[in-house]
Amino acid sequence: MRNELLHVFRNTPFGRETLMHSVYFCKETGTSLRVYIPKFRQFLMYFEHEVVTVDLDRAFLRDPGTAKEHAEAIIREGGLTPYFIEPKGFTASTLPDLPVDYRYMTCPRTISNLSTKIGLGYIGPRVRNIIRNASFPVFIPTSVYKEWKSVVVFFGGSQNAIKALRYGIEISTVSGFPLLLFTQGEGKHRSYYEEGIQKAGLLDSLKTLNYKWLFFEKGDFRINLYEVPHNSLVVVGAYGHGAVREVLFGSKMEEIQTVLPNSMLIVGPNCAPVLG
Amino acid sequence: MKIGLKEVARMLDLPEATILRWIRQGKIPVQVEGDRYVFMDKQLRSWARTHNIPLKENVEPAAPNNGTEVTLYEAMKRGGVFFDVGGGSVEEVLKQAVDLVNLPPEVDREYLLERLLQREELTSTGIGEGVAIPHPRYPMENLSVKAMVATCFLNNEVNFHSVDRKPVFVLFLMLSSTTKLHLKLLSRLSFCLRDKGFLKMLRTCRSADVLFAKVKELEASL
Amino acid sequence: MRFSIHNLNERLQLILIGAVVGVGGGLASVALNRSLEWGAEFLHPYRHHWYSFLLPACGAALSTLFLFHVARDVGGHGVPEVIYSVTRRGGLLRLRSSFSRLVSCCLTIASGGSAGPESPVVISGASVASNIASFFRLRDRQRVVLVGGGAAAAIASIFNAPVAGIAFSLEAILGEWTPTNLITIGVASAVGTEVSRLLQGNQIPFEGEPFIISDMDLVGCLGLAVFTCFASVFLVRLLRYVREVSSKTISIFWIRAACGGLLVGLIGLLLPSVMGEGYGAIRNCIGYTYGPGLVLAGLVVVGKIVATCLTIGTGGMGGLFAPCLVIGSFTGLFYQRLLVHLAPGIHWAGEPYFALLGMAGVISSVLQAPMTGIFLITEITGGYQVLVSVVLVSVISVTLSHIFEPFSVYHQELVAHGELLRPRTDRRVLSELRITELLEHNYHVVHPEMRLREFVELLKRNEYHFFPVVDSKTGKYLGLIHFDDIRSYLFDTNLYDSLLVEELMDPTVPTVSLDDELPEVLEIFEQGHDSTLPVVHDGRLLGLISKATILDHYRRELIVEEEV
Repeated sequence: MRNELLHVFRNTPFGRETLMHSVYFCKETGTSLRVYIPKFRQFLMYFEHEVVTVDLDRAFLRDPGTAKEHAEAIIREGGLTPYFIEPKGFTASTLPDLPVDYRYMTCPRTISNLSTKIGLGYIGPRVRNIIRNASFPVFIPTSVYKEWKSVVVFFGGSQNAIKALRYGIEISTVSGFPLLLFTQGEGKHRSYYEEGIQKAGLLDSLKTLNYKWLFFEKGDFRINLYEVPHNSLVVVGAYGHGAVREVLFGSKMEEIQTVLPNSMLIVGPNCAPVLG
Repeated sequence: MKIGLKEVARMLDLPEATILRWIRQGKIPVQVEGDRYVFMDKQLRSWARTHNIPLKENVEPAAPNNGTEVTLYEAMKRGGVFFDVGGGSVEEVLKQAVDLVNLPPEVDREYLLERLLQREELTSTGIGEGVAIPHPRYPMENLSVKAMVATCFLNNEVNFHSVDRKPVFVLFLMLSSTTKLHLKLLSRLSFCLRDKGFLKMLRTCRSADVLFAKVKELEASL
Repeated sequence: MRFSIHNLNERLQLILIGAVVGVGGGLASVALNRSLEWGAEFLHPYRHHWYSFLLPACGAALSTLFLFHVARDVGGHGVPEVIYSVTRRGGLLRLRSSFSRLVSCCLTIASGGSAGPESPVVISGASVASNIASFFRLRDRQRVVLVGGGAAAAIASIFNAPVAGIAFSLEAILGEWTPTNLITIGVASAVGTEVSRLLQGNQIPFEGEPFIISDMDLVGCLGLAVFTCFASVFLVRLLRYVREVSSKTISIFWIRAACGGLLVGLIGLLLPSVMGEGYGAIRNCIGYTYGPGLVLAGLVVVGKIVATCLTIGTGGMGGLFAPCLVIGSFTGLFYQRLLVHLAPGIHWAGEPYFALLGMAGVISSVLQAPMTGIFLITEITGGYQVLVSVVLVSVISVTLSHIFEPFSVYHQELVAHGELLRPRTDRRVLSELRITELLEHNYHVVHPEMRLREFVELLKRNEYHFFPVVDSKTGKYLGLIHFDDIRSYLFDTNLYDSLLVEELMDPTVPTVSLDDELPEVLEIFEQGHDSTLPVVHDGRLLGLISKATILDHYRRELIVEEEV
């Protein structure tokens, strides 16, 4: 797995904000930025068990002449070196496929509809499909560039939540930003969750980080969400709760993405565990 | 056009034994003429093309060490010999040397001096017994001549922070277009300097011809 | 259920799932067949109007619009997609392909486009198989076999020809005949055929009268093989030409398809047998019911070739099987009439005989798959008595056409992009190895300012041969020192303090990037006579790669793939 983040560039003012987010994310997490400037309306990603078709909305192909310059300018401004990828495999002459062994991928909330549709509560079906199948977490930034200064991990105790926690710890360690855990009790005591973390062998790494735990024994989840700092990166697992609850993202995830406007890092069920 | 076994082996860069085995196994198209194996040029080429095997065409003998044919003698003659070069410190003598030497027109004197000083900073080019071999950090790739070595006998002995702490009385300013060439010349110069007679000659040298003659003599024995 | 499947032995697994796949493929073909019948009925009244020649144009335009806008399933030409997926992508195919192509094909053919229902059903069957395999969380190798099964089931059920389905899958799609493959694909094919028989009845599509053949006819076959060869080469080349030219001249895809359809409609006015998938026309050939005339038969051959290329080349959705059968039978018809014309004294076998052989010849040549051709013709005509002639014509025609077009029409696109990678070939093994797997770390990194003296000390302390030079501040790779290169300077103690590592290194050693493909890397090795190269990514050194290690891994790949 390469230590890189894949960013599909939209050559519009909206796309500019998204790219700036990716640049910042890469800088803070020490990953290299790889930008794909699409030349076709679709591309494929061959994951382990499914091939996902990503349909891009027209804005992605707008003004190809200036796309590269614009992207380069933004990346250089952030202090990174621009690096563009060209797809090598083609399923058909207008259908390239991109490699899938990235560490992260940036997606706006919707990738196949015009940006006017972007708002709270909506995460497009293609993006959901990527999240469900990818071996990497998907970074969904806020619409307007805003630097995050802390990492909030939503910990609900499930396997996926543990994965999310691993990513949260990793990012907090590398970036140096403080780590917060957010748990909505749901009747269980804090020790239950601690046990889970202990079993996963993460308690020690947590302790060295000097974290804070926002533990809510009761209260309305949505109201408690207000405690999440406005300038934090929200790390949350998705699709971890079994067939029935999979119909929606797993209800917690839906609520979070409906209420919080923060930048999010969504860790899907097929994400590879963080290495070292 | 017909090609023989030896030629085919050379073109494929393989031992004859392999070609013979391929013939036996039917892996390579061949004809038998009398008691010899013969290959048809066209057929062989199309076979090589379909199997993606590169053929080595008539190769000229490899160009002799491209760029390293210059001898120390030639380089020193091109560089010239200068006596009574002034200056009391490393920077001063180097500046003097750069100004005096007949540099090819494309060489920027200030740039060269900068590079010489850069190199000195990393580690002194004073190699002992009063000799220094200043050269620019990174070879001068656009040098029109392959290499030149300018010999500068200093007016005053200068502290070059040499290994043996002895002050330096002669500089060999070395300019080469490639690192390989530089290393070669350096190695030869070092060889000369190991000769006690050469060192003695250097200390009292006032004639360029004497220097060149001695260098030529020593190089010949290599 | 998902988990209990995993507990079974692999072959048993594949057989069971293969059966499911067979059902899927069978249903897909029945679905398309029914819709084509329905489409034909629906459009029948319109065919008698003056504007009927516009029908193919409309159908083609609708078909491409549907595919692009509604199904969002752009690109592919059916069978090549399946082959690409099988060779490069572990058999992964998009789910939407299982039904989108069927609809689109229906629109194209029902309106009169000259294409066959086979390619869309193949990709439907293959896609169903692929997604079933993914559902059961199977690995690449098993998924690939199941995809082959899906393709086999498709062909088997369309033609009620199980063996042809197996042959097609093994010859054209998978490219290898191994025992595991055979069993799974056999099951899928058989089940697919059975599904089709249950739902559509067990008929042999083109049954004819028994033949009386003489020795002269066998000689006549040889000539026919030449004609079928030319017909196939003409078809393949014209198709390629139409594809290239049409995509260059008309960029709006549905207009392009519509133009193709328009031309087909016009041709259809003169030669109605040219339209649609043509099974009716084939029956005429075999049943002695096609109108007389040598020239007419010849015109139909040419007309059908042109119409097919215009339909498929401009983006219409459909397969080549059926058109090949039509072209083949008319080529046979033409040839028979030619023989009768030239040598009326000899009692030649009837038209159906040559029509049959013509079909075998053309199919075998276009697909470069003689087994498929032989089995298909034998099964769809029930003509076992003519097996000898069928084999003769197929084999000779394939051999001749191979000279002009060495790759089947399905493989050409892939070969052009270097994507045709058969199992256990050099290119395939190389394409599977990744550079990250080959990295070696048998070196010690040094900094450019290090003096020769310190370097010699370093040499004394280890046994490495390679010393990459890396900038101490930025960590960027600068060059490589190989022990052999500096041997001559090691003993010149005079220089120990005046030579720096940066003066000893070779910055010109070609570097390899993580994204490089192994064949390219080997090329670099060849040109430079190096045996080890640095792997650099983003300016940083990741490791070294050596030819010796590549060999070890290469062998291991081959060994692991061997079937026990």
